[in-house]
Amino acid sequence: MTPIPRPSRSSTRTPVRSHMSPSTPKTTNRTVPPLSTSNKPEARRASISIPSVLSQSKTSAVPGLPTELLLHILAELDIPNLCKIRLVSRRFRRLSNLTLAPQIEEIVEKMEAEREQLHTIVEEAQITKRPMLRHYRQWLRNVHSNEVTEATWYAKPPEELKVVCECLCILKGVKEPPKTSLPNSTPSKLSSSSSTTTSTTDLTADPTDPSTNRLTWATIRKHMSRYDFKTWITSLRTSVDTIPFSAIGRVEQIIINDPHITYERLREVSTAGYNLLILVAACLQYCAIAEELKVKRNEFLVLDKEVARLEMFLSALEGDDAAVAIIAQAAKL
Amino acid sequence: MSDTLVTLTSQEGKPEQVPRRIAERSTLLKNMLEDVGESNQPIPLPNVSHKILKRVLEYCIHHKDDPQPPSDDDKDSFDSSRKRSDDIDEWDQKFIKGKEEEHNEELFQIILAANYLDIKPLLDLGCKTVANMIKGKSPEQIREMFNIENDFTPEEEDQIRRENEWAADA
Repeated sequence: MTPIPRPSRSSTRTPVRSHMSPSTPKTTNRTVPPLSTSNKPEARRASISIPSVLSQSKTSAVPGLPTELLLHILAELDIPNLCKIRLVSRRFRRLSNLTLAPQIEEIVEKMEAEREQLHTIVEEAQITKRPMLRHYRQWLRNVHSNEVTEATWYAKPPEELKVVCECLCILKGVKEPPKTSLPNSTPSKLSSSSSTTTSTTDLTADPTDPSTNRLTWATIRKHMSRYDFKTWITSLRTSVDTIPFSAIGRVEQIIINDPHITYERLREVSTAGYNLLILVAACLQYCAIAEELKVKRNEFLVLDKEVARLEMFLSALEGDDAAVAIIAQAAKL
Repeated sequence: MSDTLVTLTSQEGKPEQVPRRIAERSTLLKNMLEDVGESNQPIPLPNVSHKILKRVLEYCIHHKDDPQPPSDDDKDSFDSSRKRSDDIDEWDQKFIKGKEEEHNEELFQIILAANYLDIKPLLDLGCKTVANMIKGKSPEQIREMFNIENDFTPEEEDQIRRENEWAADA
């Protein structure tokens, strides 16, 4: 009978696998702009070299485990936990770095591909939308303050004209002044007088709700009669980008919810109102496209910044401190 | 042949008899028994204490009907089907927990024995359990739990924290 030798096959085995290696409209066609923008696109067998683990097996601490087994444990952890392990000790930092590096590399590769794709989308969108922006900006070119003067001439304007003028005021940033008390009124009078005031502003109301925060004709008329309003409207071609998108949304809701606001109806009630409606619609269309481009550009910039941060982290994992400094400086973080 | 008994001798020289089928849950023992063939000689396991050997055999008996883990050639396909660290069988959880007062010490000895005997599922179970103990703990708690000395300077710690911020969204 052959005596059984001590286990020795193990020396030929492969080490523990650590699981850490992952491995448009034509610019020339002066058709009036549409009134709504709502259709816009949207380690193993470690060398079981019968190791001298006798002494190691007596320790209860993790550091007593061989490196390949620690790597096996770390391979079970996700990135946030591995980052925490980096703070435990120098040895654990090195082991975490070894486990993290391939994972981060894989993420960076994926994100770089995504960034490239997003860059192409932004470029293509800019190429496609630029003519549209030019087209709608054209409508903001030949604006005359006469239309504003004509519209504000009414003491009691047709409702459609009032709505169009209100839209322009909202785009300009006009807000209904808050309720003010009468100078000589007593508190009791105050309450009675305020009850008769029709123009009130509910500051808690949803600004996009067309039924709230509506401007009174008095406020509209007062603002539209000012010189700075006329200056603003005649320079809209250059200042249209400064219109806040929240104002665009509010105006769009007003127009969508009012079935009387059509080019045909405005043409019937007031030529000035018709021309001002074209102006409002051009602003809506221009700003909706500009916002769409801005969102795409911001998405690309956020991803670009994330890739830069992860590349710096990868450099740190690989111990390339000089590279980290250079990249950090370049990214100005 | 699978019903024959194999004698394993622990570090203390204590013999433990198990059916060959159970012993073959260990790839090390399986390969060795295949090489040697029929033999009544005890197999010395100088790196495994008798207490840990009994615990390991307890695991092997419970999992005697499990399919054998794939060979080295099929490792990648096995790895892709590995269970997540939070997905541990209830019996395995109870087994690895052992006695509370000597949990850590015994756990590490089981990991070492599983590695030595080449019992991959048991090694995975041990590593997953340690990983689960680490999850959600602060570096200080991890040091305390596993008796690890902090050999960083405060400046180094600050630097690592800054670096970790770069991976905050990963």
